[in-house]
Amino acid sequence: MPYTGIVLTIIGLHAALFLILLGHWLVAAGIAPRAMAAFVEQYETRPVRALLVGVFTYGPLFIGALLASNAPVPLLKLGALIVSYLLLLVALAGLAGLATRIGRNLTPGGSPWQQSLRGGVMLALVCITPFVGWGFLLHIALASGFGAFLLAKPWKCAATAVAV
Amino acid sequence: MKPVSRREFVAASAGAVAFSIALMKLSQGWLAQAGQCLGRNVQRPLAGAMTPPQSAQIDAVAHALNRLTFGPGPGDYARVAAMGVPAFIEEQLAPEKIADALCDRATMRFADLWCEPLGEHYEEDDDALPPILRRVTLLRATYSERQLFEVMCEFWSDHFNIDPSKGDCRWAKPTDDHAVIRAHALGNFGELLRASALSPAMLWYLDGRANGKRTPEEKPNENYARELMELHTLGVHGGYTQRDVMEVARCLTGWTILAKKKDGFSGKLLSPFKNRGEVFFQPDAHDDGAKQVLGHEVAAGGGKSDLDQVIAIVAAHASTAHFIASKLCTRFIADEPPQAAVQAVSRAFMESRGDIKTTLRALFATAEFASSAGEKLKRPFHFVVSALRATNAATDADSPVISYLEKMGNAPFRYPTPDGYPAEASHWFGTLLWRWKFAVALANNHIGGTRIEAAMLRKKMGGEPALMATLLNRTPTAEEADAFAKSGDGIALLLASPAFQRC
Repeated sequence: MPYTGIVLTIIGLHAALFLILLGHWLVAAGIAPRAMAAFVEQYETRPVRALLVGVFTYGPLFIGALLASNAPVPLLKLGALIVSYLLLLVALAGLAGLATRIGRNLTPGGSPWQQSLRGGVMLALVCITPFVGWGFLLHIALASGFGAFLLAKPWKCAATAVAV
Repeated sequence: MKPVSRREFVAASAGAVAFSIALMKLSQGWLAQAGQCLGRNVQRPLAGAMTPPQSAQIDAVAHALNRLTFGPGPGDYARVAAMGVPAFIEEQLAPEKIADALCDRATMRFADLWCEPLGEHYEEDDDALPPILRRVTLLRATYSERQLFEVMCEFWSDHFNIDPSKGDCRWAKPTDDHAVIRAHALGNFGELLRASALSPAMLWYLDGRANGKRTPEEKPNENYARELMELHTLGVHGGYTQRDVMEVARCLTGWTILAKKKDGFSGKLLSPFKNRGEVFFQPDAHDDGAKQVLGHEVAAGGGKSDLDQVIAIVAAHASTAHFIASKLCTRFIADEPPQAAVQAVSRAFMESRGDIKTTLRALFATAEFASSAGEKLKRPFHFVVSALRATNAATDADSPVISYLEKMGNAPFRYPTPDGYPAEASHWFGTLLWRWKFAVALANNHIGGTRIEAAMLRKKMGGEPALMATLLNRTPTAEEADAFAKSGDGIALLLASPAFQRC
């Protein structure tokens, strides 16, 4: 009885994380399909390099931003939180490439958004695995997503807005 | 996929590991903060003035803190000294006006214990609720700002003691704690007594549920009636006779609880436990003849109102006032309380018709209370909580800390007989060894789920002399200061010292 709320909270947090990850990946796939193709390309050709670039760029930047978010100055705190979220956004967009790549292998004939959805479900399930998932794999995956984003140079691709 | 060089692979792996470690380090602080928000290992904030006692003797402020609370924490002395003892007493006598966010946070995850209807408790396993109730009681005593209220809850829990290991009490005691003890701890004694008489846990514990007279041959069960007069109101020498016991038992016949299926509690498809534990009156099991209780006539045909008449008679009796006053004076003044103080408190009780706040106000105003500083031995529960508060410990009050109370024989709601834990020091001298063990374990963070930050405490207090004065409620003697410096484990030494065992 007293622990029912705790169990429900834990389930709710995992479900929320699952939906947040999936939502970001589908939006990224839907809003910039050409950039997405470039991210997928990075994961197909040089996934380890994407991770390498990510941990040495996203890692220090993200940790620095989080440390700054504890600053006593409210403005600095707010700025750090905004930067943290922007870094997360970039990393999630890059990581959508990995989700799509997984989906492509699972359903070779499917449309791109279906591949993103199916791959995303699988990847998100791995990332919400208790302790190992959200404590380790998710952060490594996000770092690799950031690396894939940088390597793909999406700002050179003409972003094509399409309706999802 | 392009081939991966060994250097690239090693660098990526090392980077990933370093990144993970850094994130883990960072998240420890956040988890601690999140835990505090969720009520885990909460700590009283070390903010505001921390001025410790400056006197070589326990002064009025320290004395009030010692007796009205489960022991002062860092900063409490300065706060009470600034507001004055009378204002502090008035503040504590109005607990509803005291914000208690920290305690609420520490106990909120156990809120089902007092939010759910009693019937729902029956869904729990046999041994699920009493440990949670013990834990919540320790958390409240440690973290609540409504300290006098918590002290009085402990007092009334002993006065109306119920052992949760008996029958359905294991499910009904949490409701008794909430709806009887805590609801009336600083209210009116008569109302408290009535609530206790109709508490499902009490009806089970003292067999009130089995007290009926359906046939002329059936004899009422006098167990509760006897304890009502001997332990709850008049006292063993209160002037009642065996005939009074039998007459009170007759008045209380018919009151029972829905406890088992054969009593008819079930039958609801969605909530089969809904009505379980409900108290109700069975007219056919009530002895409706005329009775005489302590010289008062209880007319025939009164039915369920007989109970109210009995409560009114015993609550207003002079022996009850004297008995309650004696027990209160024993708790707050001395094991053998001076008769002048007992008389004054008894008079306040009678004149206020059992108003507990008025009675306590009179007690705290007696000269005997003021002159009794440092003379009472803390019971083990008081000792443990005062140590946790004095060291500003963060505790989850889980089994490791409760087990020390079990070993000292003073875990909440563990006393088997209706008279409750004794207040007198003679019962507790045998617990000294475990007190010392607890002091050493607490000071060295060897109690699971309980942690003190000695260095931080020392720094916030402004050095060791101030820390010593905070723990002792007075400035240390030369011997105490010397022992503190030489021991290498000064906090444990002071917590185990004779001075800390008393209040």
